[in-house]
Amino acid sequence: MLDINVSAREQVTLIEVRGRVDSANADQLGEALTREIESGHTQIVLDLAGVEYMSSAGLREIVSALKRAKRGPEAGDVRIAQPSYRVREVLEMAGLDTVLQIFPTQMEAVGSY
Amino acid sequence: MPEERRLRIPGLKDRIPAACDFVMHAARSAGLDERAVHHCQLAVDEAVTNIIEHGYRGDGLNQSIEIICRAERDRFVIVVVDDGPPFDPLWQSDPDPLASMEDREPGGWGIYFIKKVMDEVVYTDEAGRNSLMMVKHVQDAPRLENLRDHVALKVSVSNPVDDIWLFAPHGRLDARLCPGLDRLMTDKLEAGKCLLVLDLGDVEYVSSMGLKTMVSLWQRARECQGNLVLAAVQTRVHEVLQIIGLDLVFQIFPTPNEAAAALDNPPA
Repeated sequence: MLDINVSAREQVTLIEVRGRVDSANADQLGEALTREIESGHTQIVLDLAGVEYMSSAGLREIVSALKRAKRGPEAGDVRIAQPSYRVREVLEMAGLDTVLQIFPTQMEAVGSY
Repeated sequence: MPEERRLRIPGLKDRIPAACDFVMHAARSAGLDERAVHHCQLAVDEAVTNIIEHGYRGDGLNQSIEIICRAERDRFVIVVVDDGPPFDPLWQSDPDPLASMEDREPGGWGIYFIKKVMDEVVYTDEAGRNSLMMVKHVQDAPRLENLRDHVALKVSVSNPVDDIWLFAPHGRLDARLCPGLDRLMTDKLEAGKCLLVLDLGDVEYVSSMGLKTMVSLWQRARECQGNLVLAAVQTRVHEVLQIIGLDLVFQIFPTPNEAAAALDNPPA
């Protein structure tokens, strides 16, 4: 099971994830993201500080969510906070460091909106 | 005798963490650093996920996946074997990490990740079973910098006719990648399998070391009354063979099937 905590920081939705994200549980991450975007909360910060491992299944959910958030009427986005070195390496391998905004701290990610 | 460990799991996603733990433990015992251990975990996860999602199509409860880890002197070897329909991931084209958001499909990164984090990826169609061998070089692991620029040796191996083995490398054959190919094909020669086809259909560049390796393998195949023939040679590679006269040494066939048929029925 993934531990996913959703909270509001003014207009920004903060989603904090803990655990290992693989193809067995990535859909939980996808559902949490979809729920927020469909309720109109499209300015999202995904805090990955507690994620020690992520496979391409996690990236798939993040990219799907990013596409959906950007499609909405208000300028939505999914921004990443505090990825570990390993998760960052996986994001970079897929070139997501060029299409996602990645921040070293949660405060900077939330403040970027 | 290198140390070998085996694990068999049902084709279910909730068993993926067990497969990862098994491989990580073996990789640590083999002396890999933590970054390389993470790469091995990612590779086995992506391989097993692909089998469950595409090979077993979510119906893996009664089908299994076997994972073999082997620590050799200078390399750590992971082999993943499944009974799904024959599927060679090495002929699939890579997604583009520089694509814009609009042009991106969310998925399709699994095989690409395996090719980027490992040093050798070899697919073998083993009499109806899929076998994917993924190798990490113990010495090279700390030197890898940008994974996006990393080029692994990629080879598809099949056995189209009794006793004839076909090797299809993908990409380049240069000084860095040749020793791996030489080792794979030498293993076959030493096992007495001396009828070899080298399918160059997916090879766009062969360096002088590549040519040297090909000639050496051909000589050794001849020494055991066998042969090494080439198939599907691309124009640019063919030009290089012609310049140094190797087109007169090697028999070259338009397709791998024609090459295998010629080896199977040599002219009297």
